Amino acid sequence: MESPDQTRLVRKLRIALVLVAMLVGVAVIAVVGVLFYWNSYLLGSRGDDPFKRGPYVVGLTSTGAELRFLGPDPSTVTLTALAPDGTSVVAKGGTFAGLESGQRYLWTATIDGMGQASGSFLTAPTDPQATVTFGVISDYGSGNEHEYAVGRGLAAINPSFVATAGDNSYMLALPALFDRNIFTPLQDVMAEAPLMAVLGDHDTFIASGGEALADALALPGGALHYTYEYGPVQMIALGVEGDAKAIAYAKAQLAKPWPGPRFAVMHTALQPGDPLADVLRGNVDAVFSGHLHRYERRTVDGVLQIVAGNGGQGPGNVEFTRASSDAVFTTMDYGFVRVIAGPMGSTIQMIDEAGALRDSVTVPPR
Amino acid sequence: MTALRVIIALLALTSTIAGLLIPPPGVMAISGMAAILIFLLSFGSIAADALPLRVVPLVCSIVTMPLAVLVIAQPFSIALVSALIVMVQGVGWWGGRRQRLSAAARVVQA
Repeated sequence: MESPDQTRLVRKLRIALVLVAMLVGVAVIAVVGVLFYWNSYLLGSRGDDPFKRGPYVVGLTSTGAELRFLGPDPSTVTLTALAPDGTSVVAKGGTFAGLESGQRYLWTATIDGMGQASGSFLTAPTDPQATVTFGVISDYGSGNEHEYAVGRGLAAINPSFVATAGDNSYMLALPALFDRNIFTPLQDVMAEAPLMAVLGDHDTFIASGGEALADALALPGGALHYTYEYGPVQMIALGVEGDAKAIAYAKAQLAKPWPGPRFAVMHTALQPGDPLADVLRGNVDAVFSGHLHRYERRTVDGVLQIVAGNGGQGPGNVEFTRASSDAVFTTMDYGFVRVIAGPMGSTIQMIDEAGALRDSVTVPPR
Repeated sequence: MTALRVIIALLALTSTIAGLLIPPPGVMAISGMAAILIFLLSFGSIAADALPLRVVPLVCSIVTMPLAVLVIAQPFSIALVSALIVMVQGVGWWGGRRQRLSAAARVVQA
């Protein structure tokens, strides 16, 4: 027979057990709630669209184009490119070959004869005197409404390609986040222009992040050090920062002559006294960077430095988003950079998310 | 634990009445909240019926949990599933009472 004290103790223990069980219930509800929110709102869904991602352009040359997509069985998808003269080309394995240079092609993805996605791309010109328009963004991969606005603006300028100066996916470059942070907000512009991305510090927090991003965007050099050429324009990607590897790569690439407009792209901006500036000075028309969540135009040790860190993520802490004292123009307003590069020089413009031209500079030919 | 079972039954009853009177999606403001609370309380109810083990009430508490999920997921009528939860609590209470009575009878015989 239990004593009254024992009975009370058992009752108390039983109540404690019930409360602990209900705490577990709270935890279960919290986890289910987070998963539901994650799946329904953060990762989203494209409804009846058979494509989970894309199709998006990953490469353009003067005679070819490469598109990628996720979703339907590739054997059921037919990609067709229609030239202005009415001739059409069917892609093999996502790659169009035998295209005419400097032509805008309408591409269409059909499944069972039904058009499911369309876009257009401009093949690279072979004329060294051709003018090329491209976009530049950085620190954009947040999936927020500002990034969508920037993406729409970029699509509206019909760029031949878009260079990104890093931080393509916040807070981490997890493949599960790529659609939310990159492919969906930039869907329109990626249907016409390849994203020539450079990795930022957020993209490299986890070792596999950069590789996954480089793979998804079909970028060489692990999206760190590589050179992209489109017609007369050359872009030299220098990675996250101006370290020894970046300097060595820049030296090697700049040793090769390039008569047309030439730019460098790197995540962190040049700072006075940066050894990389000595390598770049006089050899590139400008350096595009990010990391600082602002748009800034400044000259660093004789190199035009354009910071395009206002692509969508926005300033977290204003304390860490201070304007550079030597900036000619600086703003925290969201936007993107449009570059019109031609034989008479390059015009670099910052257009904000409301469509206003906020800054413009023309760089004479080197 | 009878108190938990009564609270669950009252919540389910509220959900049943709401399901009968309020058309969706407005009904979820009441029934959804009630179902979340029932789901939460069923954890406590399971623990209470497991120690000491009372088979019928425990089964009823376990069954309550997926029924609460069904109220939220709405594959069937909210009122119907909520009413089922009320019935299950009744069965659980009856099972627990029966076990208590038979235990008391054993003590008297001893």
